[in-house]
Amino acid sequence: MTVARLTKLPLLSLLAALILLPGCASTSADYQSAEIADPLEGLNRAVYGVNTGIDYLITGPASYVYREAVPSPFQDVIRNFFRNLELPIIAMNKLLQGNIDGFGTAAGRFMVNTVAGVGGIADIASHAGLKYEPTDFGITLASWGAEPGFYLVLPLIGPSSLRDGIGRGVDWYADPVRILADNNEIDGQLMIVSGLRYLDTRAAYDAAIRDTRKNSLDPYAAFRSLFAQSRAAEIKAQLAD
Amino acid sequence: MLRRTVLHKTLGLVALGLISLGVTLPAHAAVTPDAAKTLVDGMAAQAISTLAAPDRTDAQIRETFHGILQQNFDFDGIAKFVLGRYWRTATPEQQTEYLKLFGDYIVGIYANRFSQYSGETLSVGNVRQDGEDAIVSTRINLTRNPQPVAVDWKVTTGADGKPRVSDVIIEQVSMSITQRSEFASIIQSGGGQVEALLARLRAKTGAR
Repeated sequence: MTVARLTKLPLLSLLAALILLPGCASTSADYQSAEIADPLEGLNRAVYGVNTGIDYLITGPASYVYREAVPSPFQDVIRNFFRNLELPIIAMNKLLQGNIDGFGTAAGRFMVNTVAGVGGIADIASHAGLKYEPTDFGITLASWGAEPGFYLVLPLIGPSSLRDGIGRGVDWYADPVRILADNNEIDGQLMIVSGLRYLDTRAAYDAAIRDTRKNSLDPYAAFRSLFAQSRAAEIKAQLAD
Repeated sequence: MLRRTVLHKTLGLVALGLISLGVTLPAHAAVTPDAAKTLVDGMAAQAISTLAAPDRTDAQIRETFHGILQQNFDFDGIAKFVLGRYWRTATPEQQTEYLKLFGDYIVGIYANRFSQYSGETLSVGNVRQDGEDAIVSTRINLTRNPQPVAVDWKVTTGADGKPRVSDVIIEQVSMSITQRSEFASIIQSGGGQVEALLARLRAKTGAR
């Protein structure tokens, strides 16, 4: 019975296994808690190499053009729009994390900006104290006690971990906005929005990425450490709320 | 009355004893928040006055930063931490060369970063105690981005007994831990040889 249920729910059994994984991260003081195991280093370095190549040739220059050529009020509108579309899945994650206040903020923000903000292009909610507080299913898993597992470099997306990679998959699968777009055959338009979001995010990290590539003796290892530390800090801050 | 005087005298002697004990242990004294704040304030003032000076050349910036870092950073402590367990496996000659190369490498990085200086300011926030160390929270206010960058300075007692910066933590990311992770990766892929790291450091610092 139990076995049958588990095989019906491969995701759940995977999650259970993940949560039971022995902690790979050390657990000492504040900034020390951020080492991440990398058993797939060979594969990860290969994906990192491809990502870096694509970034040099396409996405890096594209994000530069986006940032320099698109007037910043338009960039703000685009950012408001895609951030608004993230709110349903953010609200669901806040609920799963047991963060009722966070759920209220995300849900309230979605209603205010969708209605008063004309489909999310104006961020009225921030002025009303409903701040944009992103979260994801990787953090939900962490709130249930899951460790990062090990380091993963995802194609195009970049640094992640076993836990956070699964989190991304679940967020994509369960996202009400994506499901709605799929059902109404506007998934092409949603792809364009995702593309703009990618360029916007890439542009925000531009200084850090260029600095690391220029100054680091082993940029792959540097990015791995930067990811592990900042992700651990982000999760710690969110779970302390 | 008499008793009180005796008690006072005893307390005075005890206090004197404690003070003299304290004097014999200056190297292990905890960093006071005030001392840490003074160090960071002074360093920022020095750095910004150099950078804000008109017609500065890259060579001048590098030289000034070398001085500022030498005066204010616990270089040897950072270098040893960053090399981690490989410090003990290095030969004395390798250790000496590493300390020199590490210093040049760090100065190069900071000179690089600060050569793009365009009027950023540093505001010093609160200071908290972290065991024997003190952590000074600051914000760097950028000119192009309204969002400031959070930078924490970990101040420890240096080998000379003076407060020294032992780590810089930018947006919750420790520079020392990042470098330790990089260096370990280089040494591991070089078959556990410290020489692999030294070769990279030589190439990087020589090429600048």
